Parts: sequence; structure tokens; C-alpha cells
Amino acid sequence: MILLRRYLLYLIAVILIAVAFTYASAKLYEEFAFIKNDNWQILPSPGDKDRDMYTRASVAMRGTFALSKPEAAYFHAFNDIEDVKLMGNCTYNIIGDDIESRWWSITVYNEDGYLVENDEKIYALNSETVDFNFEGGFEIFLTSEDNFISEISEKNWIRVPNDEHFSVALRIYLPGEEYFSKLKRVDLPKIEKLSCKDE
Amino acid sequence: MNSFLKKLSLLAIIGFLLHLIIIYYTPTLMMKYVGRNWEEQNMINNSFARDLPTSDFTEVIRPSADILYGGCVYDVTYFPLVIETEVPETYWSISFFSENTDNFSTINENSHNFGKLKMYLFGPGSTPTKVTDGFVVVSPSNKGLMLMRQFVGNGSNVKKLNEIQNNLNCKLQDS
Repeated sequence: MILLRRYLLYLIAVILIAVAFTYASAKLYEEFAFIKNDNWQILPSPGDKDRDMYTRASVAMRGTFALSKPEAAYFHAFNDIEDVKLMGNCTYNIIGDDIESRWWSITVYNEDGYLVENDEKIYALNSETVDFNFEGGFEIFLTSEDNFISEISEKNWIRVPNDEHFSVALRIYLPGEEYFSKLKRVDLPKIEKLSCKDE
Repeated sequence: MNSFLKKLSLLAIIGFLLHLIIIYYTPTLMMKYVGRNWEEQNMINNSFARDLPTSDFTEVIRPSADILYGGCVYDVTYFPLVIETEVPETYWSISFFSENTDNFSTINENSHNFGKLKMYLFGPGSTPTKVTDGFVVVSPSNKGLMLMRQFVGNGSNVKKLNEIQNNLNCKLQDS
């Protein structure tokens, strides 16, 4: 009985050590594996068959069926340009230029990584649905404020979840092979906070 | 080294090995989790079509709201799978994911840009030589997933894309 109890303790210790290694590697992975470009982050080879096992595990948890390069580049933003977490009670704008590619899209996700519930059924804007300005650029508003949406209804906007952190994905399809060698330097849209409800 | 330190080192090594096993098998387990209903929905070696994702869609995390997804879950243990579809004028791709979620092959408009498309999907270790009427893809695992993505753009072509998606055909060569 004592022997059994001892082996049970060993087993629990091994499991705890494994969980600790996994937790630490997940934290370190986020710090080192992603390429950062302003407020955006990207895994350079999310779906590639020769990716390392940590990338494979991370992608499986975050997106499951990611395409390999050069098919698509997936950028994600969890923070604004000031490096503050994106929050649903604030209004943001995304300002950028058209992106040279087959097509691109900007999608908003709730904290769990799912599309944000909204009556308008607008979950994303893409290179065909966004209204470009005269200079060829665009401005997209991210907000949960009904009044603000009524004011800017003719412009580009996507609803964000109220009082909850959210993230933004920028998908770029067929941007060209060389795009992947300069992920740190490519021009990407900027996400800036305009106002918050409690300010 | 005293026996306590020896035991601690051994536990740490075993714990680290267990951690590596967890990391290694996470993608395969995620694939099993995502596909937990595939068999009862009769999706193995049959085509499926999904509506455009909405906020109710929770099958996969971070779905693309601009893409109409179709595809087939495959099991090519005994026979190759024959996949046939028309390709749309908009962006499309057909990508293959092995059991551990690797995207081991993608066919898109750069390799075929008009009309009908035929593909033969073989299991690991196959060296097919007699296929002349379509693309040959060899999967590193017997089981996996093929996904067809069609860009909906401004939505004006959704009806046609739905039609293509519904006519996607996957069947085992011998059936």
C-alpha cells in the first residue's frame, strides 16, 4: 500500500512536470516563434509540412487547418499600435493601403476565436467589399457602439464584442513567394484606438 | 549525487519526455476532436459542403468569413480517392491535410485555372504511374482531410460557388 502510494506520487509529479514544461514552452513559443510587425504577429510557416512540432501543436490549437506558404499569410493582432490589448468597449480604426495579393481580408474574432455575433452579419471586410478612398487606401472602424455605427454606416465598419477582448486577423492570399522573406518589414494596416466608453 | 536528487532528475527527465509526447500528439488529437462526428455524419470518403461561417460556427477556431468551404474527409488505406470538381473564376484552392494537420499539398488556380479538375489521392508509400487524366497527390497518412476554399468576394457569385461546392465529388476508385 505504501509502495503504491509512493508510485502514485511519482506519477503525479511526472504529470505536473510535464504540464509545467508544456505551459512554459507555450509561453516561450509565443515570445520567440512569432514574427512581429507593429501590432501584428505571424507564424512564418503555419501549415508547412516541415514545420517543427511546437509550431504544429500551436497551429492545431489556434487555427487547425492553416495553409502553407506561399498560399496565404495569416497575421493576427491582439493589441493596438500602442501595444494595449484590443477591448470591445473601445472604438478603433484600421488604416492601411491596398495589399498586393490575389485578395485579402480583415476579420474580427471574440476572445474564444469565433466570429462575433451581430445582427448585420458583417464578420469581415475583404479587398472586394471594403470601400477604398481616393488615394487607394482604406479606413475600417471597429466598434460595439450602436450610435457610432449609425453615424458611420456608409463607411467601413465591423462590430466587435462588447466588454470583451477581441482579436483581428489579416489574411493575405497569394501575396507572392518573396513576401514571406520580408514579413517583418511589409506595410500592414495600423490599428489605433479612437475612444473608449468609460473615458 | 544523493538519492533524492537522482530521483528528482529522473522524474524531470520522464516529465520532459511526457511533455514531448503531449506536444507531438496534440495536432493528431485536435484532428480527432474536430472530426469526432465525421463518421456518423457519413463524411468519410464523401464530399461535404459548409455554409459561409457565422458566429454560430464553432467547428474550427478562427474560421474565414470570406471563404466557402467544401471538401472530403479521406481514408485511403485500401483504395485511392478520386476527387472531381469544377473550378470557379474566383480564387480557389484545394488543400490536403494529413492526420497530424500538415498541409502537405495544395492545388490552386496557378496549376489549373479553368473547367473541370480531377485529382487522385493515394496513400503513403504509393508510386502511382498510370494516371494520365488528373493530378496525383500522395498523402503521408492514410487518413486526413481535403479542403476546397472558394473566395466569395462581394457575394455576387455565391450561387455559382454553392453549385460548384455541391457538385464536388469524392469517391474511392474501386467503389
